[in-house]
Amino acid sequence: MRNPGRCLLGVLPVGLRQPDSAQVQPFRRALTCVRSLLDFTMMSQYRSHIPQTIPYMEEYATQFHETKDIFLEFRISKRTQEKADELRKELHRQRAQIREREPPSQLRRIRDDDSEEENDQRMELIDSESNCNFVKMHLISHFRDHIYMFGNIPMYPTEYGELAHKEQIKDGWRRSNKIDAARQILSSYGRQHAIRIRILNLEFLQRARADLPTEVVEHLEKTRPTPTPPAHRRILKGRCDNIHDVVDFGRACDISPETICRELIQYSRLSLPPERRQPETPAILRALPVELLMQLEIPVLAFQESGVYDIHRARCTGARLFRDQTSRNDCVWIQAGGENMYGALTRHLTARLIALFKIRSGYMQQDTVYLLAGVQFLSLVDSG
Amino acid sequence: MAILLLGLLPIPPKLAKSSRADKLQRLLNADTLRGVFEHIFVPLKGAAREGAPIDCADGKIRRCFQIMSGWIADHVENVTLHGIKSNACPKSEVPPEELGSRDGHHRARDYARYERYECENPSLDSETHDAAHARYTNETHDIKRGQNVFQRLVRVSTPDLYMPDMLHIIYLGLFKHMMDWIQGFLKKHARQ
Repeated sequence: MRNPGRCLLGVLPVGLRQPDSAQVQPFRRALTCVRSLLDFTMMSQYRSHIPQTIPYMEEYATQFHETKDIFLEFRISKRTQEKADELRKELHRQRAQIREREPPSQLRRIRDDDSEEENDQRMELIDSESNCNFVKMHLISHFRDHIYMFGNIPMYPTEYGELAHKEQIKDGWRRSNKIDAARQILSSYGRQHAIRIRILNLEFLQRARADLPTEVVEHLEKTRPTPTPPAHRRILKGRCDNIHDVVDFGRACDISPETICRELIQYSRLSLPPERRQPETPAILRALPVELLMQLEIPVLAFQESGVYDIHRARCTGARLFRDQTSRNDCVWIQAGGENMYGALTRHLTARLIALFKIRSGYMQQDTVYLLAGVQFLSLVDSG
Repeated sequence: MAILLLGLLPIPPKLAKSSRADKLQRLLNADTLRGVFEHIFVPLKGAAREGAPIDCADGKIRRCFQIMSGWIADHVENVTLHGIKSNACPKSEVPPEELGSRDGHHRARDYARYERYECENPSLDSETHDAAHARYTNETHDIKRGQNVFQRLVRVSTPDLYMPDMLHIIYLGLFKHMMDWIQGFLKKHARQ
């Protein structure tokens, strides 16, 4: 739910574009409601607050409460739904009796009036019966006091508790002999924890050049974990078989090899330094070894964090099906041009992925592999 | 954040619709839970009242008073621990029909008062004025009598134990509701 929250405000205005005259007000209200809830969420994720930020947060909460009635009709309980159905049936019965006396020529107009009246009555019933009185709606009103008393809100998350459930209880259960499990689970994590602390202490002593027995030093050397490189690189995954050169690649992506060669030459001219330019003979380019891939993992700095990265996955399956449903070719932001280009987008443009591929350098003596992505820029249709 | 496992709580099987036998079972379950928590909290009571010597980072030993100040749990767990009904707030006395309203400053829950009523009126069925008052309080404030596990803790402010939690309130709560609303909204305006 965290990620839909991030892209919701980008997607919803597109879904609600070009409203007709009756829709302008409700659409604006719905957007304000969603925006204020998202803003409130963003503010409550702050790691530190100043006296100015808390009123901001409060303001968003107030705005959300003021505008949430636009969604009231979608909070129908089963009981209200039954009542509304009953009301409709009752109306139908009453009308059937009256309508027998009307001349058939006026029936159409009467039917329109009827459906309008039906809608009005239903909305009235929903307005009087539905409400947003559920406990989570109330609990957000305690965020402010909590910040004043205890500091920021993400400081006391339940995520760690939920994770500990796996590490401390489920793993403990698996390690136990299932006979006297509760006791073994309780002692299992305590033991691991104690050993970890002991190793840390010994490592500290070793660094401080304390006199340790040789077997302890040997054990420390043996068990020392090898440092893993930080995963802040973009990683390509999901290699396709049977793709060897540009011709295969073009066939798989349904693009002619001439187009690919043309694009490659353009890339080489525009983006590579002169001493590394690639040959421009189509025959050489066509024979270049290519690997086609389906997924790009992009590390994105997490909101309000400095060293934590979220992995966003951009997938590009070409014409193939993704999980046996439809093909998936994601939209991505492309960095292009100077700092002040494209206004608020600050040199970023939207594009749709066509292919993700690795291609070897055209000169045999250069052992370079280029990781490239084919994209198609998205343009505005019907002024957005 | 460090989390250490102190004990495994007995979790009874879920009960279906309430009948008389189930009601008794529920009471037994709540009593068992309370007994387990009393056992867990024994060392904490002494430490909060008398203090306990603890090694300090500067090499000295200091007398520390460990006072429980927060309990991280989701709403359902809070409901069980505080002995309240599922549509009640563990922090303030807000009536169920005002949960969705913005304004309204509700009084913080006074668990000590509930406890006093409970001690003074061992049986709620009697006809005395006090029993009627206690009954009224329980009903209006959505309290399940005698099921609060934090009772009789020393120097602990029970309503402040509740910690708001982004995961369950926002991400799994309001966002999930909002997605349903938006789907309905888009369907109504034929925008799908």
